[in-house]
Amino acid sequence: MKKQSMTGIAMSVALALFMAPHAVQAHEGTHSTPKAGATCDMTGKTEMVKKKKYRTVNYVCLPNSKWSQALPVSKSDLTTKDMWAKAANTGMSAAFGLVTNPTDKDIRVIGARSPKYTSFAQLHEVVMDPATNQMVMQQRPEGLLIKAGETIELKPGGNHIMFMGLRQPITAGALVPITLIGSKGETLKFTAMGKVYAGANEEYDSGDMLSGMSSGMSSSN
Amino acid sequence: MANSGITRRGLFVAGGAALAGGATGYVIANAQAGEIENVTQVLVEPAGTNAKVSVPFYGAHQAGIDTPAQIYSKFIGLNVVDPTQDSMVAIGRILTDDAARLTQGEPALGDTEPEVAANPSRLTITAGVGRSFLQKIGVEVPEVLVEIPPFKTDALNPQWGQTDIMIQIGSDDPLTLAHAQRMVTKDLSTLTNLVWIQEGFISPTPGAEGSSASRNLMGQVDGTVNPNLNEFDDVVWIDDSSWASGGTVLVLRRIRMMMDDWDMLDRGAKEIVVGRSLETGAPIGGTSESDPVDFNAVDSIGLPVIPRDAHIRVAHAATTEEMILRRPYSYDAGISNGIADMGLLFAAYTKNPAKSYIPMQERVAESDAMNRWLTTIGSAAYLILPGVGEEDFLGEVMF
Repeated sequence: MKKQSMTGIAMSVALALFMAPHAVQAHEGTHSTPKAGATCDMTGKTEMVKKKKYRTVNYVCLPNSKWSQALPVSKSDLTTKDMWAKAANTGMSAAFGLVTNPTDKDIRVIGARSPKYTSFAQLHEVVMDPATNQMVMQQRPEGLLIKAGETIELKPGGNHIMFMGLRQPITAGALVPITLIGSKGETLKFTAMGKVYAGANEEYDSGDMLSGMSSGMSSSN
Repeated sequence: MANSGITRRGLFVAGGAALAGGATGYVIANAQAGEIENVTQVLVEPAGTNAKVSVPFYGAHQAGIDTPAQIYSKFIGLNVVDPTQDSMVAIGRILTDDAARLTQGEPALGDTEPEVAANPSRLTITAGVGRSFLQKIGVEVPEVLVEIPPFKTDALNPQWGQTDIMIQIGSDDPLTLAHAQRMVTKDLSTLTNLVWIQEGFISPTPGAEGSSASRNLMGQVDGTVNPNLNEFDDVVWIDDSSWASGGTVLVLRRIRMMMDDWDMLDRGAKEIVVGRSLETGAPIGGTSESDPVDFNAVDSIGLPVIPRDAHIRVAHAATTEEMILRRPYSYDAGISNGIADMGLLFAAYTKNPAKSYIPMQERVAESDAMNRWLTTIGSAAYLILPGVGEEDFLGEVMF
């Protein structure tokens, strides 16, 4: 796997996702369902339709499909605790902590946003790459399922919220606003504290679309 | 108040040690009948048995001041890389988060050695800011945070001088303490530069039978004269209308003891210099440490029993306003140029040093007989920030 600079990969990904002509105008009732197992990135903006607030969700699924769906904006029942983000000046970073589902129904988290710090946040997992025997990060294909009553720990070396291509440094002590987005369009807003952390440097494997590109997360300095 | 979390558990865990006489700090001598919990709180138990004892972090005042002295303490001096209010906010948030967790035996966020955080052993993390730092970041300097003037006996080494901020960490477990220091300095590493770390210790056993005070390296029972807990409001905590209310001023002095010269004095001469019995801590002419000092007593030929230049006379506070809280730690920095480099980290806490510490130290510098064996090589003063509630961060009140 050839290595590429942080900024390089982030730009590539961003270009691939946002410069492509996929600006589907979404409205209430525009429905489409990703194929099972598809890898999707989720972006979107909030808009008013018939005096109701909706989040327009653009799914961009690999390899080349895309669709869009409008979901009513609502507040997630999930709660977070002990959230922190790795301080970094440029390139990639990640956020960690505890996410709890206090309800009696499973909740799936399908995306993350932190527009102040990145145009592109993802839910990632760390897995062994059988080809190289290295631990690599990749996007979780189906988001994160948090079962009823359970708490999952986002941690270095495990599941985490990945920040690609930082817009501004995450500094020590900063409060980084993050939104997690559930499969029903519901959102959970919280802040993560910037912390100096030397670890969480797994290689990034972006999958088929960007095969051949990988890079470690930048260090904090 | 800051000790309330050590109550029942401390009582039970400490039971045996209480009988064994393992006590330190200044509270025990002042404990009134009925204040059983206070008595048990000051006990330093055999190593390890108080591993799970934690001192509450949140409160009107920061912990680590009215907390009975832990066996080990470090004072960490840091300068702020970019002295701005934004930096102070970030530092305050990080310190608050780290201290709130670590002092309760919880790992810090992103703690790489979470198991080491599990035994707080009365861990406290206390933060202070310097006068010039507040000026640099454009924050109102509290009136009581005055410059500490140079004293004529000082031989200050800038190595131990004033810094922008100071973090005091104490614990009865040196591993816990080292971990907390590492976590905090690592977390602040992009915002601050380390200037010094001053490490101190006290004996876990009292300086004399029934004493509240520890013994220093010169053999003195040190810290006999201290306010009762119920005098802290009058002596220690700032209670004016400024943002610093609830805090205090720390004057930290690194006092090197000329041990090799002190060795030349015979015991009687040492006691005359100090004004107290080395064995019991009793004032000359008295029988026990807690005896009131009779400064007017004269001997058969009319000379003062407590000599005019004896340490306890010169350092004596005549009024409550003149009092300070002494929370001293011994230090041992090995051998330097063939002579022992050891002494005292003299940590004085006062609500107004201009009325207490400074006049006292001026008298001491003028005429204290002990000066011949003591050299102050480091000096710094900090506003110990007011305590915080669960929604606040340290230093937030200054903005």
